[in-house]
Amino acid sequence: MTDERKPDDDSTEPDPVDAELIAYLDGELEPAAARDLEDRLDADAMLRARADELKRSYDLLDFLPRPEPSPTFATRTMDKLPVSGSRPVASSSAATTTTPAPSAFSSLAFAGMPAPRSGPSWAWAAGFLLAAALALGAGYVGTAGMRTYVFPPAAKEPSTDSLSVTDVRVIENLPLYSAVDDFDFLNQLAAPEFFGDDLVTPEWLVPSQPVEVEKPSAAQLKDLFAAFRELPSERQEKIRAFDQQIHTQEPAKRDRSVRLLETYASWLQHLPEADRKDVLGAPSSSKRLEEIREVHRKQWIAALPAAQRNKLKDLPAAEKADLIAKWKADEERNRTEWSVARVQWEALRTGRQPWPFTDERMKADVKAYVQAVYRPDDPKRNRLGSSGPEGGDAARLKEALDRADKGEWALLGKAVHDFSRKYEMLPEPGKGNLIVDFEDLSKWPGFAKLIEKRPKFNKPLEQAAGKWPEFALALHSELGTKPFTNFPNARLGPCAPDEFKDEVRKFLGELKKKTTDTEWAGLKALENVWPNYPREMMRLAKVHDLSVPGVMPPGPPSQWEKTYNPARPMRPGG
Amino acid sequence: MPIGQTSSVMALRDPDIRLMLRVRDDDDAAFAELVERFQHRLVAVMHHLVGSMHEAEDLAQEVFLRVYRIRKKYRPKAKFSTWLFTIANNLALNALRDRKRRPTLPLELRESSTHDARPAENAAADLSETPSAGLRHKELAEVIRLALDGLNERQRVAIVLNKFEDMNYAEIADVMGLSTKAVKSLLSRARTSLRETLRGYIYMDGEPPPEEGEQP
Repeated sequence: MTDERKPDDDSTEPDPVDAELIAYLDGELEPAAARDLEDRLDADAMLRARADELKRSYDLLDFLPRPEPSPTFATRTMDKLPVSGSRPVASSSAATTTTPAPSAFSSLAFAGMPAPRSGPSWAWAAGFLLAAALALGAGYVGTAGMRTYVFPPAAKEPSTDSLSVTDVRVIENLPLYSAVDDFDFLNQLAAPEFFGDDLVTPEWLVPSQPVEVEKPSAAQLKDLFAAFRELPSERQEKIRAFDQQIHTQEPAKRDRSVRLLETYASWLQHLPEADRKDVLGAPSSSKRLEEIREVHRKQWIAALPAAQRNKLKDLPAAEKADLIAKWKADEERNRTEWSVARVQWEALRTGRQPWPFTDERMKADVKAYVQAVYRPDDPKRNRLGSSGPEGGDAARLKEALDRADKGEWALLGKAVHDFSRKYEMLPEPGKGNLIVDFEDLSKWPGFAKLIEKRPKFNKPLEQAAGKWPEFALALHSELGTKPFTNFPNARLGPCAPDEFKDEVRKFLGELKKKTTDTEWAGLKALENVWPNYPREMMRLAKVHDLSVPGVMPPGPPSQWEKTYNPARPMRPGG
Repeated sequence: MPIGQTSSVMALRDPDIRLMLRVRDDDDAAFAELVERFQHRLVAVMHHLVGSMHEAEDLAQEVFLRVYRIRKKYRPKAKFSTWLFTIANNLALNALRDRKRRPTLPLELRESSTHDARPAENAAADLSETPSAGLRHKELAEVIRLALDGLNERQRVAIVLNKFEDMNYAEIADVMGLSTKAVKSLLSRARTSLRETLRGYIYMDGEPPPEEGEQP
């Protein structure tokens, strides 16, 4: 490179229009200036094209490879240090065990939080959650009741000098930890009926510029430290242990835990005083979950339109429950429609179809997958239910396929994703009989005769006839009981590598490369056990973000989740 | 480990500062952790700046050793990564200037010997041609690499920090010792230049450029 090749020189003034567009794209314009520019962009196609070129040319830099340091880099660097007493060996595990949590405060800025845009000021955390910490530590009535959620005045000026480094993270996160009993409790909060539904956010909904969140001031941190020291040592230990449990998880799970903590904390923050008191004052974690459920229910009813609320008021209890169930079902359907609408809106906004329908091969793969797995055109083997006010899942898939034929793919993507969660699929055998009906059992000794008589089998089994893997699974749960008493260990599907179709056998080779030795040994141990072996194979595939061909939707499972399981707009308690 | 009053408050904010304070207190395990934690980012940034893996690792190593040498002088003021990349910026700029004074291999020869050496002028001419749609990613990466090499050193540093370290203008200003306004101009010129060089490549995904008069 020579100076002559430089396209410009640092002393020249940049083009003011480009400079403004670039600052805008970088999120560096003042809000008023940004709004002004947005108005001009709306009105001026040339300007839009110019911005687009700037953005796209910059995006191209993402094509550059991101090289990783060589495996010996850390060791070589450590070797160059002047000799000193205790020289540790740099190991790749060092980083993983101590990777800091995404700061509870900065990650508040990301989506997945209810109402983060209004700017959850740090004060909330300093306020009631601290009281919550004390409440859980020493009993609500004895402490927080008297303190009424005010920040406890520091009894003496604590010095942070004596702070141990391992406690720092605990104290930083105290506002999030304090209202949680333990790790089990947190895991229960992840259930969809509590906060699980709030945790998944599609990539494109995450604001590109994180919302600025007020950080705790030095004084607040000191107060947190003081509050921590005021906790009974038993509670302190519990919180430390909880922190350890959070942070020894693999990064993705750890991030999810932190988001869950934030979601729960934010929900608590927005509760009316009396409800919050009920939740925090519950004497045990199971009672606390009950309280949360109850508050959710109350919120749900309170958020109904007045007319509906009035209708509920005068009903007897049983009818009231029925009506609530019906309304909840309606709402669930609306939420599904809404999440599809959001994917579709994004398609409309960008002029691109949602993933994976951006490429012709994937379009064909998904369609082939749908035909192979759900058999919509085969009246006998069609797995999708057609009951329900709008023709059920069968009608939903039909509509999605019709729309896909017209070039709108979002509905199909959403249907494929939802069905893959609702209808369990297992690999079909490579050769030999697929067990989907009673006739397929005729080979079983003594069974042909029984089948001829066509006795009445139990209802789930009768209903599953014709469908894979429903029939085999229903049968599996009957094995060992009459009339299947003599076949307790019958293999109802492929459960060893050479029994699968070629594509699945090939896939197992890929899976082996990705799994740890322990994972692979665990899978091996299940060989010849159906359906455990294929189920474990699919679980491992999901863990390693792989798709079992012909069984799971084509493409990485995480990408399906990200695109089609957006955080849905939930009414409170919904 | 007792730490000073001012630093403790800073340390509460930034776990990397906590780590660096342990390094300051001669905890070699903490230094090993620091290397583990930052090696990927540093090597990647250096590679984007100098274009050669070998040189990138040497420079990243030099950054870490310098951190170690001056550990006793460390006072937590800004984000730790800002401090670290300030050191990296100085070393990288020196290396790039040194290289200019004693030119060695042409840039495009440095990383891979499998490509034909192309004088810079030819490379620039190539860039202006409209590429075939079948241009492979690797070739595209090469074109972009050349475009990046075509920027002057300071522009390149600003771009790399902005793009790959996700730094905002104020942070880049801290690292480079410039005013925010100067960073804005620097980035502006750099990105206009990238646009000019890469214009032929930006609609390669088959999507047509927006037409004039198109509705939003």
